[in-house]
Amino acid sequence: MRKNSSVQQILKENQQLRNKYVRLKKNIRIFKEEKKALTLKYTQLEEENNNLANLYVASYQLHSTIDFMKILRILLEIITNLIGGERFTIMLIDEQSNKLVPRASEGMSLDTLSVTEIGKGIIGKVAATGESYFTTVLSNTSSDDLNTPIVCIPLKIESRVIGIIAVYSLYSHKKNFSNMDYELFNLLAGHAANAIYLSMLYARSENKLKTLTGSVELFKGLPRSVQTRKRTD
Amino acid sequence: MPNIMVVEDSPTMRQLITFALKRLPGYKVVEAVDGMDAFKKLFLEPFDLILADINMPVMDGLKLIGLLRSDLKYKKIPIIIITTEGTAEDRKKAMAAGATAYLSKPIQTQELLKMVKKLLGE
Repeated sequence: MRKNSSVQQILKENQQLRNKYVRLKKNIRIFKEEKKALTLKYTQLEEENNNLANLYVASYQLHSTIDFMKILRILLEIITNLIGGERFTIMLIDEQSNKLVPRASEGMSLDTLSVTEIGKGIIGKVAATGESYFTTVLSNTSSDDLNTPIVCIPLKIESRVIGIIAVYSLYSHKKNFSNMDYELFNLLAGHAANAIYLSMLYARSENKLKTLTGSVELFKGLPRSVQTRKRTD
Repeated sequence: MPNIMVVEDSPTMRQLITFALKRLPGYKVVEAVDGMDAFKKLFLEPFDLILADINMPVMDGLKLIGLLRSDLKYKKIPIIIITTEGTAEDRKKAMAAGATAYLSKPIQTQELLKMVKKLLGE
């Protein structure tokens, strides 16, 4: 009788242990799933963080100077180093002729690039509409036709287009565009345009100031009688 | 505290790499604008790792590696080359010159940090 009851006790304990084991196994599975989800989330956050760092650096550099030539150089650097552009150009709208004039380029000579009319071809249309152009063939990371870039983005201040960036090829090890590249292109469209426009305004005002200062100096140099006569005139 | 030197002529890349490395706790980062600047700074303090571009004015990355590898004092410093030149031939050239590792621009920050930690034995 006693033996029977102790066997039953053992069986009961055994069952309890089995139940505990199943519960633990289930908890481990849940824990593993949670760990996997957290790792994925962490990787995504890291990627997001890195992307934000890229955007911050690009924006910081673009607004680090008001020198027109330096801004163009920084823009070339950003497209080369952060996007992987191999051949590309920056064209700005000339206010007098209202045409796109190549102002800087990388991987190609400025002499090979021609002035483009607004509204004509892919580049002209981007300048006219303010809408970015991306090649429809995702694997297409190079174009030899100067009228057909793989990417063309407008440089815009609000809705006013002041120029464009046309990319013709990426470095051979860069096979396609990432989400980050599109983010950078968006950032460049706005921030680069602002930086370029401000530097142009600054250069213009500097020139005007120089002219005015020159005039004042010239006026100071005139004999007093002439100065007085001029004032009364 | 690991002391790392970033040799890069592009201010954008220099800032980006420094920004990424400084996110790792306890890392000290010194910047150099070209190979010659890096060589001068090497005399001032010891470095655990060097990250260098290839195409730079005054003294390029390959020349810098050559100088370092010919000096017993700097022979063993790990050097990571970060450059736009991404072909197998470019990679081979850099490794033959004495580079420890190679990354093509545009760099993936996670990949860079992983490589840095590995070379520092972390």
